[in-house]
Amino acid sequence: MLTVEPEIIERYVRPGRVRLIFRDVLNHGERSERASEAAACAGRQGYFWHMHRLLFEAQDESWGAPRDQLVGQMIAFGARIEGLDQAAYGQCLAERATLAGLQAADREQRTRGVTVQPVFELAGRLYFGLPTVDQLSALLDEALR
Amino acid sequence: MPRISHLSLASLALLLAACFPSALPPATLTLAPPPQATAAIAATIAAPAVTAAPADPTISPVPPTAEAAPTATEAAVLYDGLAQGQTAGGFPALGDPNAPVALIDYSDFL
Repeated sequence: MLTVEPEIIERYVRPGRVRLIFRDVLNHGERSERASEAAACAGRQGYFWHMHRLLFEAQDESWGAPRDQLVGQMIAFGARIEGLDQAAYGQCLAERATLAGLQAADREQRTRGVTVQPVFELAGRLYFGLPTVDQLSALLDEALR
Repeated sequence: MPRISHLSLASLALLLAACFPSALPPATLTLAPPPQATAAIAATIAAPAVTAAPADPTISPVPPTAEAAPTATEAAVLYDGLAQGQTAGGFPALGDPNAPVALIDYSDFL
């Protein structure tokens, strides 16, 4: 994702041809939940995509954090985002305010076959696996015709 | 003329694949597997508005409009100069809400 998504954003999202939507898949238990909550809580202040990028860049840190330090790790991630209200972000994490919605969305999309990641949905079709930039570009070009 | 069974066709396909592996598309990007493999898979050829059951009962319609519909309010914070927002369903979105195509990325942060 770190190589494909930025390219797709530059080629298609920035020129206004494609709108990119993200939906969380929770495949790794509490670790996935905490990470998605971090993104959602940051998103409440308009910083979802900032946290989205940070979480993908720092996947090793997320995996390396002991389970009882996951919240602390997410708080540490929040501290790296300039402009984020840390107190509000931390409260959102502590209250797990976004968890129910994330879990509900995850359950719903599993009924449609989204049980692995990544999965892309374009023009009503699901595509499984991580495509190359060229593969995804070909699909987008076709959809844009 | 005898009918060619599906099994025969499948065997022929496997034989061709073994002889000409480069003819196959890359394995990293696959369409949803056939319905008998995973009944819950819901991939369909795009239709502008799907309200009735499609001809193939194993393919469930995915309403394309609900998720991609832009919302009236958009986040004020830009991400790398791009507008952030949410879909009608409350999912984070990036870019022009009126863009002709919506790409949904389902992913785990881990």
